[in-house]
Amino acid sequence: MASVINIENLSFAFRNHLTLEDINLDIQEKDFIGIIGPNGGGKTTLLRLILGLLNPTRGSLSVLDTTPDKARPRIGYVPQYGRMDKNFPLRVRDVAAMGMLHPKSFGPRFARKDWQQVEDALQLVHLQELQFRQFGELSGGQRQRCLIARALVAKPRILLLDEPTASVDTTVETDIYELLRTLNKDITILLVSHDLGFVSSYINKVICINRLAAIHAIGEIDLQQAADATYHSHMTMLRHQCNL
Amino acid sequence: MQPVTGIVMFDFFGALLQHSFLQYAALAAVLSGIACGISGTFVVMRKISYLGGGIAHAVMGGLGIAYFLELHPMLGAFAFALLAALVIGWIKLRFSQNEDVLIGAVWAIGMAIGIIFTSLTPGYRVDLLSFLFGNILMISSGDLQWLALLDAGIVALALLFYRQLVYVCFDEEYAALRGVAVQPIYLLLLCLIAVTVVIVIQAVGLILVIALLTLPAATATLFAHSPFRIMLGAIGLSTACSLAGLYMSFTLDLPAGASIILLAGCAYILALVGHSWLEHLQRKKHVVHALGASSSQD
Repeated sequence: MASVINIENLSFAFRNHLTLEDINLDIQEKDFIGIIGPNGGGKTTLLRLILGLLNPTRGSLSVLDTTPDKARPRIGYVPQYGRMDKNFPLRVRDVAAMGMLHPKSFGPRFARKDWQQVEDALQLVHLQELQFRQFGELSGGQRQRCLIARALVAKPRILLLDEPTASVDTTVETDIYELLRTLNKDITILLVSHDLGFVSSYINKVICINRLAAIHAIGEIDLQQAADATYHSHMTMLRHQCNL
Repeated sequence: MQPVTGIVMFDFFGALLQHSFLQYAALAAVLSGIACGISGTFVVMRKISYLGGGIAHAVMGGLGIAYFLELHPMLGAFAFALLAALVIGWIKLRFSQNEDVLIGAVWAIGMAIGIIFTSLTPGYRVDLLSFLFGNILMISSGDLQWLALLDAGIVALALLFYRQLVYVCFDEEYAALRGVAVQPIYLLLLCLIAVTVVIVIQAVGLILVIALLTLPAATATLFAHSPFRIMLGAIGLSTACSLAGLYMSFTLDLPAGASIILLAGCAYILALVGHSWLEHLQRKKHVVHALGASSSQD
């Protein structure tokens, strides 16, 4: 399988503070990867580097065989939940349509073929019936699916999600992971999560990240133990196993 | 003795047909309503009325300097409004941590410059007061042409960049990911607000600008659910308030700017009360409906 994200000897420093050090990762097409690590460990920084919102201090990073900047239109991104104003007067379909936005989007309306793509994406996340509702009227899980639709509208090859289930209950969480599993048939997925236990039945690889990073195929690590362990202890366990 | 309202109304419309100053005032009211509806919607959606206030008050500096140099005050207002918008935008983008203090500083420094330059200007100063509180009845046809031009500029830019403006207001980071030039769009938004301020100052004065910028849009937000509809609603409301305020000012011999703002404020409060009452009724209906459904199941 082809490599979609290739990271070599990458380091990133923010205000003289080394957030990521000497990272080497190779992510293959149609991987479903969980990224775990403590707060401030560099998970979101890694996503932002892949999106080209940050530039590496050292080392190289290529996405879809080009620079992150050029690959960006083919990357879908679902930001951390709850960052945006929920009372902003947009309908579900308007929020999803934001994924069709580009630098030359002039004039007040999207074209009809853009709306067709928006409706296709909303159908994928099962929100088609709610498309004329206000975004603010949706439940937490529906809102998250709407943001996933926004990321899918432009038909990306890679989907990045930053803690997509941070504030939804367990049924909704399962629902979202099932949706991602379906999407994974065509799209490479990287998902930042705080909860490896839950995610582990969906992902095929896990990236453990705490300034340093290591990637494991899911069979390599003791899932039961990881699921049972609290967050910090399973990080310690992994670090011992892979000699980070 | 108080005249009968019908006669007063007739007087107003008779006067409107007769006197060009009233016609100019009415046109200025419509133009300021359009500008307010458009910019005000963004101000309310993005919750940046404080920035709008900063721009409006900094304009005082431009007015003072224009007076001192004997330039047209609107030129001074226009230059200072754009300058204030760019400075505030730059502060917002670069120093987000102490942004409120810095915007407060721009606000006050603009006022201070204005006061110093007017005190340096010899002679008659009553015009300055009219800029603080509006002089809609003194607008000349030349002013009106400039206002129309500025208004056309606002409408054209807002339509051209509508989607980019709306989505930058909604989610800056994602707009940037989609390749939108977020910072220039943000500065464009502040410049639209600045030009609106220049237009509206003619009608209600710089102290009351921020009210006309926010109240009609906030009222429209209660009943309309898309940025475009809120804009249309806000344009209608602020035009209506401006014209009604003009009528009120003419018939009751009150200051026009204050009358306009009073009406806009009352409209907002009434709408707020009406809106919560409607919501209450709806909730009650839902409860009754739900109870009815459960009892019929039993």
